[in-house]
Amino acid sequence: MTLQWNDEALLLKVERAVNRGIADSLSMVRQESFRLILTTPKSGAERPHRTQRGVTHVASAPGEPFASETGLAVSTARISFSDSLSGRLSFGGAGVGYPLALEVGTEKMEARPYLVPALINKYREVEHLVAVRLREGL
Amino acid sequence: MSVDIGTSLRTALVNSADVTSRVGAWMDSYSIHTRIPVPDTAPYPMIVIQAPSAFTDEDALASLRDVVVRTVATYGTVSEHYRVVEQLGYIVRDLFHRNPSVLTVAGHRVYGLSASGPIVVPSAVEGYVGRAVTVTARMQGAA
Repeated sequence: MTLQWNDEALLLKVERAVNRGIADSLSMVRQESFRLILTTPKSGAERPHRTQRGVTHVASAPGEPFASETGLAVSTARISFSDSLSGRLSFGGAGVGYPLALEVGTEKMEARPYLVPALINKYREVEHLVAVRLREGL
Repeated sequence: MSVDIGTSLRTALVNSADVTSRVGAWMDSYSIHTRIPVPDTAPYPMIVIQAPSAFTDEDALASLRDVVVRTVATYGTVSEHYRVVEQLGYIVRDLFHRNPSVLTVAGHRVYGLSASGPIVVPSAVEGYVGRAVTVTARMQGAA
């Protein structure tokens, strides 16, 4: 019996599987950040909603994920891939600079983090998901 | 209840000559703040320790270990402090990254400390620049 070891093909399979795991993980973390922003209760100041008449908007208190009012920041969420085995989940972009300020705060405003908590909440599942995709791909 | 490491982070920063030689002087101490918004009269360059981004815990053999994530940000003017702010970002990272002994937390043993960044972050004030380092501390409560 002979065993032929084709390491190039094997490494390619591993790379594809891990890339799938990274893509699915980023998607999962993005969903979790949406959940934190859109559905967790907020306890900040109350004021009339900017775009919906008769609706009260409850802002986020310091430390809570920010409260979406117009949906603009959420709509800027992007998953991108520039190299193999890496990916990026980002909020904000041209003309929408405040999502980063909300995540990390400024010297005058306490942070309303939504990305680090999402990653922490899903950390174990991310590990598991990458392992599952790897197993499926081999 | 999770432990507050804000004061411990500030003490570690104040004990670093590389940090204190670069930040402004404030109220017989240094312009390193744990309360936000910082006072209008606080001088730049300044360091701001944000409230925790996340509190969680990890399973140990017979206990839970606290995990706390906090952002340490440096701000200064674009015209005068740009390079200093940039340097402070790297100094803060080097101070905390894989250096658990630098952080003393009452009633806890810090067994893991990591830092990521610095990244560019916006300042609240036009014409100012910021750099942020995310610090993750892992701690075991003293028996």
